[in-house]
Amino acid sequence: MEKKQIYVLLTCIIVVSFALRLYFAFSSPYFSDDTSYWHLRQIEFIKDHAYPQFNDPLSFSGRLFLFSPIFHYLFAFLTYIGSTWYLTKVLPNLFATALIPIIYVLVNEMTKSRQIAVFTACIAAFIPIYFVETVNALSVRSLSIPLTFLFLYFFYNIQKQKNKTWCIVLVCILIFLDPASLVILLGLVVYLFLLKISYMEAKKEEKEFIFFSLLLALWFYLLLYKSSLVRHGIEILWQNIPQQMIDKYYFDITIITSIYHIGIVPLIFGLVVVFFALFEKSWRVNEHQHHKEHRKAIYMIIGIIAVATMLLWFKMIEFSVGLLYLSILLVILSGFGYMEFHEYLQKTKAKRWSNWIFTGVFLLFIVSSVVPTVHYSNERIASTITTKEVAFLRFLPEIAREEDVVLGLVDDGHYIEYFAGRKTVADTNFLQIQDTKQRLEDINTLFTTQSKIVATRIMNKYNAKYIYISPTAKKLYGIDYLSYEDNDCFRLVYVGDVRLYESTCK
Amino acid sequence: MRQTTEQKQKVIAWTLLLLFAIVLLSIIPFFRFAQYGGNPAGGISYYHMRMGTYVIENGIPEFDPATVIEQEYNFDPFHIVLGLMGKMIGISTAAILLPSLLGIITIVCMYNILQIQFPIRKQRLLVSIFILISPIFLRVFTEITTPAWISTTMALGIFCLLQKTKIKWASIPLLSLLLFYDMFHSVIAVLFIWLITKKEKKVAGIISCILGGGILVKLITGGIPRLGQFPFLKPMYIVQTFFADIGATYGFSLFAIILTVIGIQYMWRDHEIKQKSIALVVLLFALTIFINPFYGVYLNIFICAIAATGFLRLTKKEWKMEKLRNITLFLLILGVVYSGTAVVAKMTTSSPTEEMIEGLSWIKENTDNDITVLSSPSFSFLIQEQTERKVVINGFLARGEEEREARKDISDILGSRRIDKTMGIVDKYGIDYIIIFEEMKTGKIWDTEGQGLQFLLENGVNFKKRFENNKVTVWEVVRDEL
Repeated sequence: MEKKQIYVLLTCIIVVSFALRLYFAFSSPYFSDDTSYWHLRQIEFIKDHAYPQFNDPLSFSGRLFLFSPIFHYLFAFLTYIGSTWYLTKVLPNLFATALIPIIYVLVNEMTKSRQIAVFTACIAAFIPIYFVETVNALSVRSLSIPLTFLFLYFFYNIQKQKNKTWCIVLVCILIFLDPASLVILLGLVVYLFLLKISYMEAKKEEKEFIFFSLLLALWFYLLLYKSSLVRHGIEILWQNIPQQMIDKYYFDITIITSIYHIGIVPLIFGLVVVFFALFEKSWRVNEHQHHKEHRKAIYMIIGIIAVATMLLWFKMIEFSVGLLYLSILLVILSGFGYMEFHEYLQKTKAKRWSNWIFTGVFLLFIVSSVVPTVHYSNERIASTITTKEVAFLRFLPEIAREEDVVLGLVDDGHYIEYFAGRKTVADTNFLQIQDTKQRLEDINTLFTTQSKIVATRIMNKYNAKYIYISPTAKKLYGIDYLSYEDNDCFRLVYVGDVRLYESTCK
Repeated sequence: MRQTTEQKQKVIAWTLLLLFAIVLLSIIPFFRFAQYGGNPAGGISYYHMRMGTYVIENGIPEFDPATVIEQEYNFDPFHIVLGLMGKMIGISTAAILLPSLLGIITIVCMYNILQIQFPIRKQRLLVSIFILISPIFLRVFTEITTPAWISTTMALGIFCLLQKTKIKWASIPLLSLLLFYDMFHSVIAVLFIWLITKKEKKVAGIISCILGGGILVKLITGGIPRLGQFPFLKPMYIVQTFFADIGATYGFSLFAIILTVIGIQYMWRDHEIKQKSIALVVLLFALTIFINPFYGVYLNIFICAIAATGFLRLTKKEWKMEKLRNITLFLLILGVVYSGTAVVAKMTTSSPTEEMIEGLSWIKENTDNDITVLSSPSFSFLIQEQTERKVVINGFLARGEEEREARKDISDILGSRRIDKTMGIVDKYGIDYIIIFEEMKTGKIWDTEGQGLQFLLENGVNFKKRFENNKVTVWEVVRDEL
């Protein structure tokens, strides 16, 4: 294919992917996860006050947040030019789509083949987990993931002066933006190790840069999370998420879930490359310079894959985050995989069928990646908070006073805080909170107990005045109303798709 | 001319080190005087203050004089030093100033001892500064505890031993003082002597014999010491006990450890590591992990020495990215300094606060001398010293059957909501007052208000609130209502 054709094809992929993203993003006026609303609250607060809300009076009825606000500042700045709602829907998708050209240039640089690069970019456009996690959410990852791979692009040729500067700038942004970027830095350490055991020499600049980046990350995270580290110790790796909820974020990786979330084409081609690079003798003894460069690039990706897999295996990284990295890395490797496969085909009698084989692979990709992407996106959009829920939450300030605490499901916490602007007993941001386990137990008890006395005690314990039962809570506990409701201690204030009770006894 | 320059450099190095040590180690005393009414930080300080005063005024007691349960008192020569100093300048002032003073003496001795391994002054000065700003050193020398005294005795003893004058004989009584403490201090002293003495074999031999004999006697009379933890079963435990940056009391700086790894790599390559040193480091590492994290104070010397070496080598190494090298070195310095400053910040603001002292002073001024006070055992030392009243049991680990039972009873009473059970224990130990500290309500004993004994105090008729501020509530047991 000619250069021009490649660029046209690449542009088409970008446009289709971006259009599809916008279609899903605008099919609901709301975001599909509660955490987006925490980000939104921070962004709006920065716009109003010029500084982030580290001391939040609403979350857990008042708590301290520890986070790096770069993402929020960036969005606060960008949303000055237009509607916050509109831009927070468009910009994350724009950032996420930027991964496609980044993967193209990265793979092109590594393989020196435009065809392979565009093939890989096409797969990258429809990685189910990446698409779903970034399509209708205000997530740091929509920015940090593309930046991570842009960083890898510059790092690959770090000996060039221009790249050195970009590497330093990008690694600083990544470290300040997202703690998950540690996966990449640790992966680069494994890369050095792989080079060492393969008797290959790493570039001096690479070693120096990795050492610097690790120190910078260590120093920054120690500074930022010092009090959490002292308070939670090593538990900080699990973000202080209580045991009852840990399975929701950290679970075992299996082949089936990998196929669903990554797609069968990148998974198979990617894993084959990993196998050949590490265990196939003919790959390792090829001393041709061109081949050596390929191996170096592959080892760099394998190093990061190894770290992501280990962290996923030992449940030390959120499943979705680990899989996000793993999926994109496997997509990059699949480019190498397809290149090797294609070269192999040329040496066999199947050479004349190579176009048909490519069509077959492409169809398999559509079935295993594009279809699940659309399916999962539909599912995610369907689980978005409903208009009725939001309407009620917006009405809640008319009922509850500013200092009143609303007890609801943990997953509804950020919704209550954003739409109603009222204090909650708990939400999904557990870092720095001492009694998360107890709070979760108490919330469960409140929704399931038959005893009015027990419920009153819990309400008084958290100084809570209202109980909010969302459709999610109804579904989770299999309840339509509280079994102990009466007009004495628990007065029904609102009934509809959601229910609101007022606790009146002390 | 050359000698004059040499002399000048020597003076500058000494002045720098002394000034830095004085400034750094005076931050906490200064802050405690200014913000905390001159009350030293940490609970154990109050035990030493009380016993220091008691030993000087009444002689050596057999049992802790301020507990209901008879708890054996182990004589500590440190109490005589503290008591004497307390007599001169007041016990609170002595408790705040003495650790800093001991720290300065120790670092000066260390600087001299390091001459054996680091003859170049610049290198020696850097190692000493690394030791001075290490979290474990700052932790030990900012609280009036036995580790501060032991470390100084050890450093001073070895310093004397290395002198060519008659001062070397002073090392015998100084190092013999170690026999009053855990036998591993004596073991470490013998190994240090074995590692560093080259000429003074006679005095070193005498000290080794004394300490060796003491160790033998301790082994015969006390048996083999019990191992504390089995960290290989809990790898996360090692991380949390080892790194001050994530909350270890006697921990190391993460950045110093990184520099140590770099230093080891260079030293190994250049064959600068002695087998004797490896053996001692391995032993110290094992003691730190298995017996008591405090032994890290000895390991710290090696870590700082290697880390400083690693740092110096890094500064001399040529990098392809020169600017990045400067930033990296700056980050390393920041990291090492940060761990130390975090300890200083923690110690300057640690309890007891003035409000806590106010609550305890209320008891001292408004109750009879023979009353018994109940609180969490971790506050016992503070209560005993500040109120001059008895507690059920002090804050040390329970040893005998009676002590274990008392501990269990206190745990039961604090967690109980049953009035009959609570009053049974109250009568058993003759408890007259109960003190509830804010820290007890926020994780130390209870997670929230109203749990355990708090419920009975608030709702029962057997307790009457007598004093309250933000940090302390004092309840009196009302026996007439029974």
